[in-house]
Amino acid sequence: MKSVFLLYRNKLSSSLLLIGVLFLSTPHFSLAAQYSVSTNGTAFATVEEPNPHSIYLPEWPELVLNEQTIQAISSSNTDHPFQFSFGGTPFFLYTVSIESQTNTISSGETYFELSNGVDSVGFFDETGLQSLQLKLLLEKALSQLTGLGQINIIIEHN
Amino acid sequence: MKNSHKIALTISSLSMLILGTQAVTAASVDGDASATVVSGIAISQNTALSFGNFAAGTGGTVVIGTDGARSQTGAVSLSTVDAGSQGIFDVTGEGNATFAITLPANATLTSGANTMTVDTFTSDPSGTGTLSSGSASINVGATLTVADSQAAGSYSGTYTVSVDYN
Repeated sequence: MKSVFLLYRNKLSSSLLLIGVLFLSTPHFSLAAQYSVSTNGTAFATVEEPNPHSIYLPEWPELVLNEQTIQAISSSNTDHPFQFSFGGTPFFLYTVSIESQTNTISSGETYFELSNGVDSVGFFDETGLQSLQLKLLLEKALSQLTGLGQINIIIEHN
Repeated sequence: MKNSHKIALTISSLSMLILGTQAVTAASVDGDASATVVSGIAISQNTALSFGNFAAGTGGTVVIGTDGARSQTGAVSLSTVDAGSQGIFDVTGEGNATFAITLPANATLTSGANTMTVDTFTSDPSGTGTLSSGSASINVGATLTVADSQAAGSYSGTYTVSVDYN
């Protein structure tokens, strides 16, 4: 009887082994960490005091003068004033420079000069505001010119 | 016990042994088992989102792009003292896994009793990122709304960025 009992016990163990093998032989499975995480970021901003000494040079957009704009500025073909103004810190030095891409205007020389008796280098007065006049000088008649021109007015504190 | 009974019992036991042996033979199947535990995803702030210094004027917005470029609308005057920067977050996890990015709808910056609202959050990458070699960076931009005569001061606040494995 003891041997019979051992046979049954072995069979039971085999069955459990079979169950185990069948369980482990199931298709590949993964223990994927499907979860999300969050973090707090920080954000800052500083609002300056609104006094005249805190006026900053504006970020001037590029001035694009195309043929229509030139025609709109003046009917003259030799003198095209263009008034513009800018602000900065009072009593600080500024420099104005002109960058042009006149080679895109064909059939004539084009150059620029600052007028109104104001140099391209100067000091802001107590108001922190300045106004300059830009002249676009064309050597030939406007009707003889074609193409597009672009002028960049660069104003810097020194 | 009679001899006939002993014989019967012996035959029965041998039959069970044979049957049991057959069952074990049928169970000897090679099974493969494997498990993959992926690295947990993690996120941390590398650089704070900063709108820099500006004068409020009659109000407008200050926009920080995901590349850190700053622009304004309205009467806000941007200062060159601090040009601001985008927020940068570092993400780590399973190599080449993709993840979803969730940004907040808005956040609030405060300075004492004064507040400003931040919204229109953007990110690069947008929506979904990839953990190339197990790491990635998220650049975050947003829009700050500045009120007319917004009180001067240093404002700060927090916003939540979440990442999920896809």
